Amino acid sequence: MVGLEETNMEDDYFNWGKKGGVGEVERVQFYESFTLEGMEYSLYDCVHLYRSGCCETDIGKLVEIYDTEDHEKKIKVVWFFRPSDIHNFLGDWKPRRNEILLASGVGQGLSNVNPLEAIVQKCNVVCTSKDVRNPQPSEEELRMASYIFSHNFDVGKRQILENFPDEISGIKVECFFNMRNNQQLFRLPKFQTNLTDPAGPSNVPSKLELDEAKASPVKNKLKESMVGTGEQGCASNEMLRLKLALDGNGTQSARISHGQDKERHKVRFVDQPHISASDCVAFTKGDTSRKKPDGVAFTKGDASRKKPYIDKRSWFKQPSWEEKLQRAQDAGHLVLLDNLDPSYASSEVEALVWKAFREKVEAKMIQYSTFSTPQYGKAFVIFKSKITADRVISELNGRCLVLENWRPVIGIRRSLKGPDKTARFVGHLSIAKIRLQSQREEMRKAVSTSHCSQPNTIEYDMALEWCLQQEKSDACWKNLYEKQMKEIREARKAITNL
Amino acid sequence: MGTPEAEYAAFEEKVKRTVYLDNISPQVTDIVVRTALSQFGTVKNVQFIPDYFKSRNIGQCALVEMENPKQADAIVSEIAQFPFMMAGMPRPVRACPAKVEMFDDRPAKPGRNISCRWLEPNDPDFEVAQKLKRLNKKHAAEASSLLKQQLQEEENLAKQQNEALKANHKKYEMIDSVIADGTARHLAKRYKMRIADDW
Repeated sequence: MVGLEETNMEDDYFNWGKKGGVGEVERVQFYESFTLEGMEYSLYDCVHLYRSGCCETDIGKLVEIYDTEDHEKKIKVVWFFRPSDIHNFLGDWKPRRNEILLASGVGQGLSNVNPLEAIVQKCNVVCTSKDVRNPQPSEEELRMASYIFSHNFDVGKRQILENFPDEISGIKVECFFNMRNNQQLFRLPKFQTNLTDPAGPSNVPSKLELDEAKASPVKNKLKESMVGTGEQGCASNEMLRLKLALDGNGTQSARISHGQDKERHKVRFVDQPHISASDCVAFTKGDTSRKKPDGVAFTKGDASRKKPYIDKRSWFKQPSWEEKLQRAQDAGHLVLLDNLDPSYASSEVEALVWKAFREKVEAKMIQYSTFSTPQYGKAFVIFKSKITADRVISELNGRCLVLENWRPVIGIRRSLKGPDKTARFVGHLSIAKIRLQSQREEMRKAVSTSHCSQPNTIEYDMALEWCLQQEKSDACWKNLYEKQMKEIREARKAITNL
Repeated sequence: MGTPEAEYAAFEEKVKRTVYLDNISPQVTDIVVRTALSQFGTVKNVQFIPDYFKSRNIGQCALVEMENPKQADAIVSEIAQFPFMMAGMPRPVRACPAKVEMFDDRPAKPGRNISCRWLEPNDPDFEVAQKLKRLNKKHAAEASSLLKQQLQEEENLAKQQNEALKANHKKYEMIDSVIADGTARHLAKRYKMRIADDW
């Protein structure tokens, strides 16, 4: 079904990885992994998803990856909630920094099917739950984690729970806990009776390893450090049994997901002791029982069939800085820092905010241009929330944050101005205004092209008048800035502890 | 581009081959700038500097990266010598060498460490800091009033030039018409003057 077009779809932007089963009802092709913009994603990875109109990404765990009949790439994710998403239900529970909550239960907000292109990037989420099924994270892992979770939020009961249910969205909870490197996951399609598929299963894990090493060296290193900590957190009897059976050669272990209906599993192992990294195999339940993913209509498209690969990459690119600014301003997250050293780079402003407020922010220096005051550097800073932005402003007002060269930082909210349609640029006269009737073609061209003025034209004389005017203005500005610098120097004389 | 030093050196090179343009008409787009400056060399990149606090009636400014510093220098000196028109006359655009602070993607200067400290209200220097903050406000106000004044002057000049242009145009039209309706020829006969045929 993926057949012919598949080759066209392969490029450096997107590639499917390991194939999974085929949905029998909807005729969709499932996959275990894929590569998007050089980054390899596998099932149960946590990812940032872009939601249009939102400055913060959503975080979810990939639980299904598939290609529809019309070659729409879809992913099903189980969501993580940021505390701010569910602040009405937090009660007296205090989230830690970076803490998010896994969705559980039944109801809206648990999971969604999204276009695959909505993925922004991987997200390093570590589970800190003391649950016995959860392999405990190392210090290193905790330090590297972008987010942590130890609780789940039941979307049906709307409660924060500390204990994790056995299944979330029909998937064993083990898949949501931390992974061990030697648990390579494979979902085996029901119909496939022989595991030695054309690609050769022995090659697959090593290939995956290689790709991953290229794509994310840090993560790989992290994973390496996990190997050897040993202990697999397996709770189900079946798991233990399988593990025992395999511990003999120590290379293989198996993991069952998706299974209440144990009789229906077909478990097969390929004994390949030469594989260095041991594999963990996850078997899916028969696909007959697969529910139609919520919210997706499998329309038997016609146009999209002809052109299966639509370039959607531009749709889900990171929003531009302008968009981010506008959104941050609308949400009240935006603060303008003034009186910075003009030579600061944006990264240094971010470092400064971290030093002073312990807040991770996105900052950008405002580019110096004609009407910027040379002695004052300004930067836009986007905070995570309005509350933090308010706090920062009030702290900067109430106390004084001084930089090494004795500049007290100022924080204010200043509204951005959008393009003003009524604004015009004076000084460009057009003859068309006067002589409407016979504007010759060359004339029109002369206006729109760029050229150096020749001294024998009226244009040249007028241009010189502008140059003169500009010189005059420049002199005024220079005077003003000199006066201002002097005032600053005077004021700084009073500093006792410089 | 391994070390921060190398990265910064590469960035400085980029600054050297970049020209800063201002007084650009709002109608001018990336492509217009490219075509306009391609007569001086190869334009590698054009970036308009966004103005987030748009004061009205201010021209656009842009950073234009050329292939090498030589081309950038040539543009600056050429445009300083001859008024350069871009999509409009007679107000010329200006060009000057770009500065580090004009780039929003500038890397941090290697080896610099940002340090800061908090002054509490009971600190002896707290008042000085507050004063400096007030100065900042005052300076911003001064700058905005000077800008307003400058814009007003520019408006006046534009008006005056428009009048001059109109008057000039009228003169040309009159000449055109006297030639067209034969008055010029009649007068020439009357005063026994020869009119060149290439009128």
